[in-house]
Amino acid sequence: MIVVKFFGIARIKFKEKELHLEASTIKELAEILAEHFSVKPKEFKQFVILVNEVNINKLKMFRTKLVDGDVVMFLSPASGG
Amino acid sequence: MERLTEKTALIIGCGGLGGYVIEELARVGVGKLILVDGDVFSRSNMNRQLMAKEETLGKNKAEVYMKRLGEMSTCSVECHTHFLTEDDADLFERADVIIDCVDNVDTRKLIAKLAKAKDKCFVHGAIEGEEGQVMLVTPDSKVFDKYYKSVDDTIRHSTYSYAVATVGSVQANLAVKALTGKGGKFENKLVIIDLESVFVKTIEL
Repeated sequence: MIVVKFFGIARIKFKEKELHLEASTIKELAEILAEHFSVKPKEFKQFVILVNEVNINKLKMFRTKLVDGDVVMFLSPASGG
Repeated sequence: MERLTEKTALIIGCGGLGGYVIEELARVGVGKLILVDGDVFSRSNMNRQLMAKEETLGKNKAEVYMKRLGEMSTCSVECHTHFLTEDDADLFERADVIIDCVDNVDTRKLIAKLAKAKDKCFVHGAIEGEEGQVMLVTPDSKVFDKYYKSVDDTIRHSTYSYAVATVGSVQANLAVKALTGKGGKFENKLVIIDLESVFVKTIEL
């Protein structure tokens, strides 16, 4: 299972803190999440996405492969002060 | 401590985060604080802003803190009772570190721009709900610009006093590290603070 953690706006928007799902790439994960939350997959492009604390822009972006036990974090900038 | 007394910190936003940052930097011994805020205290600030109380309602936040710091006599203070604009570049020039404690993305981007133009580090801090984030950003880094690139504003969500206090304290901590030359390994990384899960993580973006 892939552990998916939401922070900031992602958590507020989707009203979820953590999910456990099966997915083999970030692209597939985004599609599964899009269906789960009834949004478009491109919705997830606005977030900073980390796999095991490494930004996917340092990996293979949405083609980044996922294996059992990986932790995927969705982050977004906050604004309040 | 000795070196801190010779340093100046520019704090932009004197509400929730700013309140804690001001209090802590004054008590830790920073020599001079420059405060900037055009806002006044309102009743809705009382749940999380240190100096929001009956007698300060309607009063300018930067002025209220200047008075408080005067009572403590630990540092010198300069107060600007307007919202930050492009014309405030000279304040950045005179500061050794800048602390971003504002509540909107446009002003955060202006702080990043002016800090870069004046070759100064800034400590970014923001909160949403029970979560927050902090970054010590160096002038040569694009980490802040990249993180906020596609953001015009974010969803406003209730913030909790303990989240404000924690994020403000981490900002004060990183500001002191920057002022004492100990910021190195913390620079340009994102500190995520999640008080719902009681979780703190430092990551590279």
